[in-house]
Amino acid sequence: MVGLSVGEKHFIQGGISQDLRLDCRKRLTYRPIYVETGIIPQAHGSARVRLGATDVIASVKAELGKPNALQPDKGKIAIFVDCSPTAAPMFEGRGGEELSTELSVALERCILGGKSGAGAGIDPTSLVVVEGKVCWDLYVDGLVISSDGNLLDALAAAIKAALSNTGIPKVDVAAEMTGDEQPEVNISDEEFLQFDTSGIPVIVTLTKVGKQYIVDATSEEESQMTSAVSVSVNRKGHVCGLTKRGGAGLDLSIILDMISVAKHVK
Amino acid sequence: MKRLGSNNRYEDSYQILLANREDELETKIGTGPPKMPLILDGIAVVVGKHVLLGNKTNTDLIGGRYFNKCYPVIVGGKLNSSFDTPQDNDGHGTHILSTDGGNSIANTSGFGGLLWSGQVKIQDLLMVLSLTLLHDRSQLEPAPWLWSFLAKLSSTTIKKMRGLQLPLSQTQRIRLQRAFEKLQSLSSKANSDASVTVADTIPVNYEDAFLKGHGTTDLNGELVATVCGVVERINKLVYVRGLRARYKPEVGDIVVGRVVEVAQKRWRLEINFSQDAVLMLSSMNMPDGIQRRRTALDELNMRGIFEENDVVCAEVRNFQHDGSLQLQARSQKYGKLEKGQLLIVDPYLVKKSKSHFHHLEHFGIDLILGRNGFIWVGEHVETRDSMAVDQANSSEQSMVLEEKNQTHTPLEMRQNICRTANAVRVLSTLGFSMDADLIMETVELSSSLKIDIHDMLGSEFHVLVAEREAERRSLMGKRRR
Repeated sequence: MVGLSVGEKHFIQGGISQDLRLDCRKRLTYRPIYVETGIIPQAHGSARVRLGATDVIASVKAELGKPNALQPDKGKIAIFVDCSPTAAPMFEGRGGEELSTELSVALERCILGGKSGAGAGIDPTSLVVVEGKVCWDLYVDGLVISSDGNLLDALAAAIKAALSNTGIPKVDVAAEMTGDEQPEVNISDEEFLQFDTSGIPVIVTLTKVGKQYIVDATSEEESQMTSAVSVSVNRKGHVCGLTKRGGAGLDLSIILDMISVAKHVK
Repeated sequence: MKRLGSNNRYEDSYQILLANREDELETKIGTGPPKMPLILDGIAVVVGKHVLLGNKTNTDLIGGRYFNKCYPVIVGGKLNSSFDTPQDNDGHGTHILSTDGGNSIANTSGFGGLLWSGQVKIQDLLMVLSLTLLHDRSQLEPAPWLWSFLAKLSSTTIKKMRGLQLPLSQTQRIRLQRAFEKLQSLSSKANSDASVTVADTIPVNYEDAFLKGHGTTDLNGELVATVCGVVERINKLVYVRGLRARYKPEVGDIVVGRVVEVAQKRWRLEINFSQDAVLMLSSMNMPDGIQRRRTALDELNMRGIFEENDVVCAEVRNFQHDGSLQLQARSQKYGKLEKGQLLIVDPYLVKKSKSHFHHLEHFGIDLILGRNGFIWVGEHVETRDSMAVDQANSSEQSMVLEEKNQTHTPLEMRQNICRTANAVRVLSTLGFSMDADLIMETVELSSSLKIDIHDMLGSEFHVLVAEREAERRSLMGKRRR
């Protein structure tokens, strides 16, 4: 990421305070979003989202596995994000790992809910095949190809689109099974089940620059931010998750204000 | 299925990510290494003992990567860590490394993972074809067969290079297509054959003595291009100018750069060239305007003039013997640029012209077209008189600086700056050369049609600009006749 001179930083801050950003968006305007689904045929579901110059791909792979002993009626979902070195020079080698973990954790929290599984966007019970023995493991992978700010929003949108595009193959379970034996399963190549993705939330990131906050910051604007709050809101307008990044503290009233703005923007 | 690098040796093999069809491979791989790589319908390559293949389904090249030390891609091999991205003067670019770069995945080859779909939609991620060379850099000798191989793939790549990343409705697409066709037909006939892709033969009269320049090579007695670009002929020199190359500087060019380092008696600027340019302290006017020898105190105060990340406008003075650039900023019109934004476009879009500094009076903004592709749009700054400024004035200036920190650019001027910046972005997406007149016309077009500044980046405006440009050029052509 190139640095910015004092003059340029001043210009950006001035723009934001005057509601006219570098590319002439208003503070609460998103960049045009382009979504394509089904781009990776060997994955069960995939999507690519372009938000200005930010480019991310999400793919969903489903595999049969054994459910967690503590939650035998639920399938497992894992979200992992990787920042490709082509996105920014600092991602070369292990540089992108910190950001990747941060993004993965934030997405898991927003989409999968808390530890007990409450508030999850996807219902894990729909992933079970044979209770206690066989379930679907969903691996959701995100790849950041090009980074120009606002990765979290783009990734959340990509994951939502990929999940809506996912087709889990239908499984026929052999009737005979005794005790602890692994049941026979036939994975059908023909029929697929679609996911219900209406419950999956969308993330809106608000970045605070100076006294104002903006939506969908580019990487130049992000370099100026004092803090950022990412709110995950679902279709019904409920807040599903909240993540705060950045060193500066935020007054509580500002957070509540931001949440209402996020709901409105969504 | 063979796995790449299974014998850990650094062979002369080229790893290319492609898709494959397993059934075909079984029948076509014989024993022993074939001399030429076996190209199976353009979708898989067998080189030496290695099979370079992809995954199921589709057919197109996804990308590659350069490593200066090759890492064998075997089970348990090290994660890739390439130290070089293949970006060089000739415009070979970087490419995508998939999530599992360097890892090995069962039943796949090379660097696999997410990006192996090869479908047309992902294709535009690949800009310039580059290859992963799995051998020691010192033995770098791209083999001739490589060029013919690339020729098969290059045609799809070139189409993608030109593709706009805009969602166009059907009618818009047709209009844009028509505008581009019109523009192409208007360009002179000599140029219409000029664009080449890799491994195209360059039409040359072989009886004349000619010099082979950059981007060409002799293949089987024919002159063949090695980069995708435009053929240029200057007297007896024939070379291919790559389209996405870095800036190629000439003495006397105006460039806009960003300071990356403050070193002893000089500043280093990044100007989209293969090396950083150097601006010597002695080539810079002192703030007080007096011509004098630079003392040690001046050297210590260098940061007061330019700091890191400042945007500076300067002129190319000369080349050093090692190929690096020296700049000078002796006149008042050069120097630090503040209160505006820097836009980056491809260097070949800014052609040499009489003046690169444009003061748009109507809007009160400055437009500086750097030949390296950095374009500065900002508030107008009065060039101060170069005569000495005494103490009183200098203190006044420092006060003004503080005030500046509080006042921002007025809204109207900011809108003008944004409109001009968006005009530049539109022209750069469409690939038209940057010209102050053209930029002004685009801005006027947008304001006359009352298009919201933000909508200037939408597809409709792009199509309008393309049509307008086609009309303008056809009118000019008619006037000439």
